Amino acid sequence: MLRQLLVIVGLAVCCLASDEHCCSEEDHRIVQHQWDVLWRDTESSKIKIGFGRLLLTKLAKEIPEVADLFKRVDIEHPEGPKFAAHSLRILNALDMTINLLDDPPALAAALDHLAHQHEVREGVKKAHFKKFGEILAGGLPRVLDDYDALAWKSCLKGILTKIASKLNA
Amino acid sequence: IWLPPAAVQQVSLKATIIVIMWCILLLAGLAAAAASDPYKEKRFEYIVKNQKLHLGYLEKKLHAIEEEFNELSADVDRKTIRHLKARISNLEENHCTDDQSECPGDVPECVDDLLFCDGEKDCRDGSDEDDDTCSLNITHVGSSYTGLATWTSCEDLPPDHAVVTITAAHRRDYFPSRVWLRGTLSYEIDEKDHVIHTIQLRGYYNFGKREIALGPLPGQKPGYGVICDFNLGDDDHADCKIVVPSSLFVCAHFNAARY
Repeated sequence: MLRQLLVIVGLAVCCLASDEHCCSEEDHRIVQHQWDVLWRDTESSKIKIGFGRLLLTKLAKEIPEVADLFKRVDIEHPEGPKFAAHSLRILNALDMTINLLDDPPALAAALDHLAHQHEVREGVKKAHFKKFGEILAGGLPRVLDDYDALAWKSCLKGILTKIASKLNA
Repeated sequence: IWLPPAAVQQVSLKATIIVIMWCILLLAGLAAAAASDPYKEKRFEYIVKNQKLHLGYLEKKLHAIEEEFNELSADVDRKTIRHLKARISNLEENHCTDDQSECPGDVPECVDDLLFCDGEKDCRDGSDEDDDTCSLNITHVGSSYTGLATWTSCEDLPPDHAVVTITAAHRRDYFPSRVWLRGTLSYEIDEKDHVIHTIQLRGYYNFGKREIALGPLPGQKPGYGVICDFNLGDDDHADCKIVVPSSLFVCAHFNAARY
């Protein structure tokens, strides 16, 4: 048990130390493969909306100040069309970044764009992304039968860090 | 020897022309014998002129046929046929075990690949000692094999050139069925700045398998190894893989050609 823990800690340290082993080719292959399982049938937008809604409302519950940030998209009525559309936007962005994992230059450009979109939203903080990442990592294994936590963590970390890179706090 | 009908026609035409030439010479001889009648001479000249005209006509016809023949598609070049045959035999199963290879001759037979090119004939037809089989062409120092490497794992790289170069080759007298090699593997890791990553490797060439296998140098950080199978019917084309040395897990793949 202790040895396993050491290995995991070692991997985490390794991941922080160098970008090379973070979300390797094989890591994002696994991530893409496991992510694809969700979109098997035509009702994918329903899944995306439902999943996105859950993630965002959970985030708003954990960090109450977040609810104000999503006022523009009517978070008071999470079942309403405005918030549904927003959930879909966010999940689609996540889908795009996951699908771009095997094209680093394009991924960098897409993440840069997303970072800019969050930069101009007053009040969004890095801490929110950290929490969102935790919620996502907790939620994915509930919908995915096959979930490789190490691969997902190393890839999501990179994605969320870059999206939050232009924020001050 | 079989010739296409057009060619046969060409040959027979050429023969006719030769016969006609002889006729003319004969006529010339006769004319010399006859001599001195002016009309006869004119007549003779007339005949000769006509024959020349006829020859010209035949030549023109011949050219027309040649043109027509040249418009037919050319023969398939031998390299293409060799490659095709090799691809077919790759698809045909052989019944050899992992450490055996098939005798290159016509009779199917499996022989341990340690017995290839060791000076003793082990295949019934002796094809394990053929000059072709035991050619050292592949392992010539300075041989470079290059192709577009497609990474399917291990590296986040777009398809780019990879080069395998043989830097040293050594064959031991007491164990000639392998050629011990040193080589390098280079691949481009940055398209914009053309940064090249080069790894020193060592390994061997296996005559029976027609395979170059290269791994990391002792004491080096194990990076990648290379396996190249010369299974396309010649010494200039190989099917190469960049692998993880320990597991032989395939990271990238490239169709290499001698550079």
